[in-house]
Amino acid sequence: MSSTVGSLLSGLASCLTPMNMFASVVGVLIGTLTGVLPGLGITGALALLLPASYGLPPATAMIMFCGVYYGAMYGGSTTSILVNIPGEGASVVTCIEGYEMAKKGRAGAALAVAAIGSFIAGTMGTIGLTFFAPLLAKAALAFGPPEYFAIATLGLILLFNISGKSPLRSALMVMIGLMIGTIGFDPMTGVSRFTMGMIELEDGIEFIILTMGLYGVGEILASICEREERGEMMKFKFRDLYPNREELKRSLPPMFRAGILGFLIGLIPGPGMTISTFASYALEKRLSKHPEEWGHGAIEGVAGPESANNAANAAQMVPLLSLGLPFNSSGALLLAGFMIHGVAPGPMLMSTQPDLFWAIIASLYIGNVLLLIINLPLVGVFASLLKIPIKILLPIVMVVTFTGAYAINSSLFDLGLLILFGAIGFILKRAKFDLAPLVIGLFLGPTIETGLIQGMIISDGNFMTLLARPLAGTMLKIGFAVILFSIGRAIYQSIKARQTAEA
Amino acid sequence: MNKKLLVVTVLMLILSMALTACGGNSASQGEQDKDEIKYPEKAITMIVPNSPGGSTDLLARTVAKVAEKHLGQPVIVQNKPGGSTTIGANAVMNANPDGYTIGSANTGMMTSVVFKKSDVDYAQELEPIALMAISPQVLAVNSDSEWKTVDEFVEYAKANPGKIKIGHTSVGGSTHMATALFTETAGIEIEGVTFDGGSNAVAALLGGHIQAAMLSPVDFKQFVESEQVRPLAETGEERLDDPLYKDVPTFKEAGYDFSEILFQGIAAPKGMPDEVKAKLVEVLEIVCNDDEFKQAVSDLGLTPKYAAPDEFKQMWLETQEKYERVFTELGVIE
Repeated sequence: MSSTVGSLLSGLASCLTPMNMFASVVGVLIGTLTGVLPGLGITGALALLLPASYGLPPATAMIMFCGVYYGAMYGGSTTSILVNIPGEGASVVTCIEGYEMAKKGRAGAALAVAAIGSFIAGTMGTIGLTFFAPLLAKAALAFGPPEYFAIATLGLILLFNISGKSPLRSALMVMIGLMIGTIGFDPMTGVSRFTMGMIELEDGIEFIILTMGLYGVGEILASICEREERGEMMKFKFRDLYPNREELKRSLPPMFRAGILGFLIGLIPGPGMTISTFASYALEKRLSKHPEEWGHGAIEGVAGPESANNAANAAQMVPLLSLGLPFNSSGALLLAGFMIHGVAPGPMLMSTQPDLFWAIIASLYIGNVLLLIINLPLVGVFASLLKIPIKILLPIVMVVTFTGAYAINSSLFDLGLLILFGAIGFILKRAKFDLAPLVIGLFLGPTIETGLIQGMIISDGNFMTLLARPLAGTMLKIGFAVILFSIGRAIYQSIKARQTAEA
Repeated sequence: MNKKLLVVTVLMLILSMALTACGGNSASQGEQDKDEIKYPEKAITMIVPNSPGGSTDLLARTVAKVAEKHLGQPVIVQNKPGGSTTIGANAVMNANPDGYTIGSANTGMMTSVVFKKSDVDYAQELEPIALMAISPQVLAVNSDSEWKTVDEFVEYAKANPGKIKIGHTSVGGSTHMATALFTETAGIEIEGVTFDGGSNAVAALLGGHIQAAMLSPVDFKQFVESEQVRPLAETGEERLDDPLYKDVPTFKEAGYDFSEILFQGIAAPKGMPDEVKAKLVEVLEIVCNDDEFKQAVSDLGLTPKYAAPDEFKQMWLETQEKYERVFTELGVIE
């Protein structure tokens, strides 16, 4: 433990050279920017930076990459809160309460809480990474395909009714999400599914196009119809931009809880980051002392998820740094960045290049501090954007959305999809359907499917062998129990309701 | 009433946007100078049919960067992913053949042709310019396992048909092909498990969920170094230069007569002026022998290897034929 602290301090020292600090600032700035702009993600930003970094010393380049990686998670919430457009999967759930807060003139508070929560949970996650990485990485290997299947299924069962409204409507949206997730070629057999002969659909629907359409374009269209609701122009004083004492007090416990929850869920490969935000939302909603506020701008619903994704982000560095195995696409890119500088993260890195290893870890702490310093003043700037009259703001947002959507694959087909999902989002919104379950289905569907198929091959096609695995079996049994319990409770409640009606 | 009008207006808006998106995709990619050819006079676009960050993308960016030095003009990488590489490949094929649009060409394009995702045979419809890099696949097992050689592995597989689960990546891709060729040549029965990316397969191998994996050398590299993974053989024609792999025999040396090599090259639309093609070929050969390029390619885990247009085309066609034959026999394609 004490040797870890010593190494960390020497890592800090090597980070604090002007060159490395500059790299860190550049990295987090680019990261924040890519987070703020919908469409442009970590993957795109890193891909552009990789070739530009050839001339830099390895440590400096690594520090810059890590800055981008962390920074993007900070910026992600901005558009979710301001205009209801999630920049990536991990900010989808922030839209629910964040945008409601913005409508009430508390956008600044939401943004500030998101930044503070990101800092707290991000730092907690980094601490977890510093002290437990090798241990956790070993544990993560115990998770094979059957476990992914089980945990994703359990997640689907626990989270599908996240809005707490009609279970039937939520189930319907989950189903649609699962179905959209199957579009494209089957990863196991290569057969095309639901592509209707369009080669553009071969690789499935770009997730971010779907959310930008459903949420962003759908929201813009909807607000044309609801213009009377949102007043002419928002008037607020500068002091009101930042959270008041009451809001801060309510936000702190969710941040710490999300720090732990997000870190644990982030260790699961694949959609861990996004799922951690949904899980945190569900948890905070259950624990909340103000249940009536949920859906109308509960600040805990911003503080929790926005913190959770940063802790999860740090957790995803665990397998990357200690095993050399990226568990998501941005991690894969980060690994590529390491490799072109001749650095192979993994079991050997800590012993062969300890200076570099600890410099990277230390840069994560510094990056978090820098991000807080950069993001808090930006809160005022971003929140002030809402002072722009809506008839000017919305067209600009529309242009930015379309540009961002086009930039992902430089594909006009994607713009068509964006409009299509915009129309669907608009109709669903008017019909009062909840979009969050659809996103959950879309995210977990592919994990459930590949996990099940791989798991079945591994267990020679015998589902009982799957159930006999300790981790997978337990999780599946819990899921089964939850379903039974929900059905039982529903029956009990309907009987009770009938009795009171009779009495 | 007013509200209804609004909803209708909005729906009209959606429709008009949809129409705008559908129309107008006409390409206007610079004018061709027929009289006198001074090439290159402006930036060259290199289309990559994959998403940013993969080895194809990174290799293309390396080619672009080094080629700039020798061309005197910037080379801009444009990612056009989707449709199992067909979207990017079509974009190259349909571009103006003036030398200002080129594209990366790799084994991945085979999959879309073999699986009939596209009606176009890219090996015929594109102009292969140069082979830039190759990579074999490696068969490896967990170090805890009892198998020290391919023969021991095969012996066990013969005694216990279907018991060994072997991980590989994309269906119809190079690792799948290597696995199929190995099982066919050795006459064994092992179950293939498709993983989304080499890292996931390695994680499953380290965790003991699968018993073997057929992946590219770079996927195993650090685990070979830390002795968690034992490479048994590789699918190349000759051994790898990497000190970690220099003691690993090729399958041919081990007595299994097959090879499978993933290739990465550059192609262009057909019908380029001869001078332009000659210039491209010349520059790419220089690039491939550039030390900066060689180092960058090795860092990506590939082996730099140049081949001239004809030789590259030959290799492309032969590989495609092999893919079609093996995957048809295997029943992966009908």
